[in-house]
Formats: sequence, structure tokens, C-alpha cells
Amino acid sequence: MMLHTRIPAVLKFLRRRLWQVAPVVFGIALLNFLILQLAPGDVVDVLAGEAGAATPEYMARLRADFGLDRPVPTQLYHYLKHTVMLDLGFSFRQNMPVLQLILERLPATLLLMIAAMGVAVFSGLVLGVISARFAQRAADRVISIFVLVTYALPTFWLGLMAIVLFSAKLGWLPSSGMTDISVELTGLAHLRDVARHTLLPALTLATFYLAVYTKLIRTAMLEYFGADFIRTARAKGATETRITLFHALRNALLPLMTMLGLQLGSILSGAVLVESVFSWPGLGRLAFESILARDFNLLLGILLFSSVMVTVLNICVDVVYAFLDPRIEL
Amino acid sequence: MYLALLKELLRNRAAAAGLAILVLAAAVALFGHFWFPGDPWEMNAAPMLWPGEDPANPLGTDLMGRDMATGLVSGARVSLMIGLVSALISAFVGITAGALGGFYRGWVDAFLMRLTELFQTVPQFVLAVVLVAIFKPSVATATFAIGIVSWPPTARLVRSEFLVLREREFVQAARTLGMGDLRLIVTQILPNALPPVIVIAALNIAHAIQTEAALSFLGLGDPNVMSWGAIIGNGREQVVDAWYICGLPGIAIVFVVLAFNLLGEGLNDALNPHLAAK
Repeated sequence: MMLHTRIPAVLKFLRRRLWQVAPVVFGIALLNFLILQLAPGDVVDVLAGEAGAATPEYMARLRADFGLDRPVPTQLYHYLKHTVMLDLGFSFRQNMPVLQLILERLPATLLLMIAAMGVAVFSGLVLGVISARFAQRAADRVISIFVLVTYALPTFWLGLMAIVLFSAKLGWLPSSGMTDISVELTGLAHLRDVARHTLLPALTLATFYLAVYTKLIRTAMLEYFGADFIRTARAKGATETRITLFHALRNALLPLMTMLGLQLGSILSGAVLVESVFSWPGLGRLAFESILARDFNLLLGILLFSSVMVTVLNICVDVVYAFLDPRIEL
Repeated sequence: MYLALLKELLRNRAAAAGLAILVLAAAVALFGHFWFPGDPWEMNAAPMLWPGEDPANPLGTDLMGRDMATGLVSGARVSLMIGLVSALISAFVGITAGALGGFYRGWVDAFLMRLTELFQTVPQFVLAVVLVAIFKPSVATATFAIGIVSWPPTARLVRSEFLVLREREFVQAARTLGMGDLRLIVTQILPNALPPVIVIAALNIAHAIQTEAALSFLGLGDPNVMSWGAIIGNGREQVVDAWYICGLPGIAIVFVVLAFNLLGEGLNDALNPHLAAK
């Protein structure tokens, strides 16, 4: 197709958009600094003291580093300098640099998010298409009640109930972790093991978005069923199935992508909760551990890093969007 | 006007069901302690009694032998209060930011929009967690944190309404009469921009209740207050043996959130009839 002709445009777009990550980092760093300023105690108390494991020498060095004896603008300058150089500090609880901790946990979170989004988008498409195709009929009504209920389910509670039913009562799936730690598996068996562990958390995280996408696809498709290009397709003698799948659905994918981009932050938030329910070794679990340990420097690092991740993923969504709709200029 | 709106809502079956659940939840929150008096923290029975096992504790007891029904009543009060107040905070911040940006445009608008985008990029729940953890968990910090992370959609909505309304003739007329900016915003434009804001506020309450429960579940609830999320968090260690401890408050959350969502959709149909056809 015309995909290859767009690659230079995509590269140019990426270069331009990656620059937009900088203001986000700056904004979040500013926000973090504000939170630290307003927090009870001085910055170093919050960053290291609450963690309870920092040595007095380190705290003295931190105080000098942040220039706490100097005016606030100077402090801000130092804080921003550290952040921009991606120096997110050191976690005494975990005995590791914050950035390294975060990067270690990142793949697990990405796996969970991608698996959940795959499930949500696919099932949302299927349910949305069925419910638009049979609007106001029995199938549509059943789906809309399902959507209404799933929309109201708290993710973490759904996860707990899923553990009770599928892990404890039925014994189908493991309830925690990402791999079976009792056995050493390699190759295909290892992949199978990870897949089995991913299933429950991914389904749990997917539920809410599944409801959103079903509703969205249904509305978009119903709108398109009245559009001119659908009438043309009908006049050419295309079957209803072909019209539904090729003409209406393709266009309904666009609002879906927009929604997906808008919701990346919320998906990451959802992952935090789901991970702490299923002991999934990702960023969310790390955030939960840092809350328990009152390791605020780590927590602020996670906030900064996850915001950057949302921005970067958003750029990816924009690229996919442009491939789906050739009218969009990158 | 409000009576007409209520009538319209009651004609809509889904919205009426939502209202009924909310009236019930409010009644439990306000008067529940007459049926289940006492301290929700008091350990006054055998632990892990299943619902119906002992008439003295109709909904059973938790891991520490605390009465579930008393805890759920306390949770209803906490959830509804935090939901309502944080939605008010979020509406106030969102309306202020959106109104100023949409009315004055220019650099005010540019600045406020960057701020809105920043708050939309940050994963909301993670920010709420950071705020509550650093400023010490309490009802006040939870309410404030939920309000402060959830205003951007309201701001965007109000801004777009203001951008359109400020050009309308009745606003021009009021301006010609010599009305000041503040009066123009509050008495002329805002009332006309409110209907969609009311809808989003109802949905915000639902979301706030879920967020509060999630915070308490992670152990970031007020240590002196028994909320639904806290009951679930306390019961999770034994969820396999006594699932009702986590189950019951979760069902309560589902019903209240569902009710606010239904109410929101009903309000949307009633207040924006031109959209109802969708």
C-alpha cells in the first residue's frame, strides 16, 4: 500500500513530537517540587527521612545538594537539574537507584497493559459490532446491561473476586505473580506459564475499558450506518456483513484510537491497582511497596516516569492513527 | 425548573432506578446507625462469622470480630460524603479554570490549557496516591486529592461552552449595558454553561467513590474511619476463606456507582435533549 511512502513523514513527526516530552518532564518535576515544598517537614525529611533508612551523612549531603539553606528558586533549579538528567535519586529501602528500580519493573507493566488493551479492544469491537448490528434487539439489550454493570465494577474488587472464583474455588489459574517460582521453566513452557499468570490480571484490567469501547463502537457504527459512503456501498450491492465489517467498522476504529490515547493515564492507574491485587511485579506493585515503606522519593519517581510513559505511548497512538486514516497529516 | 427536571428523570426508568438506589443509600448513611448503633471498630463477636450465622450480626463479622453491618453503614456515610465533596471541589476548580480560559482567551487560556493537559497526562490515580501518601492519609486529604486530580474534563467542557457563549447576543447586550467581567461570567454565561457540567459532576461522584475505595484499599484511607474500601483492604488476606468480607462492601460500591452513572445518563437525556437521539 502507501505505507512505505509515509515512513519519512513518520520519522519527522517522531522527532518533532519527542521534543514535546520535555515540557511534560518539566511540568511534572515542577509539580513534584511543589508537593515536596508543601509537604510537612523539609524536602530531605520527606525524601529520605520518611524512608527511615538513610544515614545522617547522606541526609546532610542531600540537604547541601538541594541547597536547602538557599532561597526557593535556587532549590527549584537544583531539583529540576537533577530531574532533567534523569537522576531520580536513590531508594534506601530497596537499596538501588530509583531509575534502575523503575526500569526493572517496566516490562511487566507494559506486558500487562498491552495484554489488557488487546483483550479490551478486541472484545469491545466484537460486542460493539454485535450490538450495533442488532440495535434495540435482545442481543443489544443484554450487551448494554453487561456494559452498565462492568462500568461500575471497581477493578481491585473484581480482581479479588476473580481470585476467589477462578484460583481458589475452581483452581483454573494462578492468583499471584508473573511466573511459577517453584519450578524453573524455559522456552515454550516458560511462555505458557507467563501467559497463564497474565490471564486473570489482564482480564481484570480489561473489563472497564471493554465496557467503554463497546459503547463507543456501538455509537460510532450506528452513526455510520446512516452515512453516504455506506449508502453507496449498499447501492453497489455489498452484503450487510461486508458493510458492517469493512466500511462501518474501519471508520469506527478512529474514535476508538482517540479514546485509547486519552485513557493511557487511566490504564496505567488501573494497572497500579491490579498489580497490587495480583502481586504482579510491575510499576504498580513497586508503587504499592513504596507506599508501605513510605519511600516517597521512589513514589515521586514513579509518578514522573509514568507520566513520561503516557506521553510516549500517546505519540505511538498518533502514529497508528495516521496509518489507519490516510487523511490525517502527521 | 427543578421540579420539572425531577419529573423528567422519574419518567426515565433507568434514571428513576438510579435515584431510588441513591435515596436508599442516603437513608442508610443518615439513619443506619439507629439500626446498627455502636462503634464500627468494636470487636464484639467471634471473628469471621458468616452472614446469617448469628442474628446479632446479620451481615456477619470481619477478621477481628467487628460487626459488618455497622461497618457498612459507616462506609456509606464516608463514601457518599467524600464522593460529593470531592466532586464539588473538582467542579469548582474545573469551572473556574474553564471559565477564565474561555472568557479571557489569550495567554490566560494558553496557560490554563497547558495546566489542564499536564493534569491529564499524569496518571490520575498515581497522583492521588502521591498526594494522600505525602500529606498523611485522612478524610480531608483523600477528598482534596480526588478533587484536585479530576477537574480537567470539567475545565475543558466549561471552556468550550464559554468560547461559544461569550460571542452570543445576550452576552454582548449585557456587556453593552456596562456589566463587569465577573458579573458577566457568573450571572450571564455560567448559568447557560451549567447543564453539561451537572452531568459530568454526577459521573465524577461515581468515579470519586471508586477512587476513595481504591485509596483505602491500598491502606491510604483515614486510619480512624471505617470505609468500604478499608473493609475490603482489611479482608483481602483472608479473601479465599471469607469472601463475603470483601464481597459485601464491593457490592455496595457497585450499586452506588451504578446509581450515579444511571442518574448522570438520565440527566444528560433530560438536560441535553438534542443529544438524546443517540
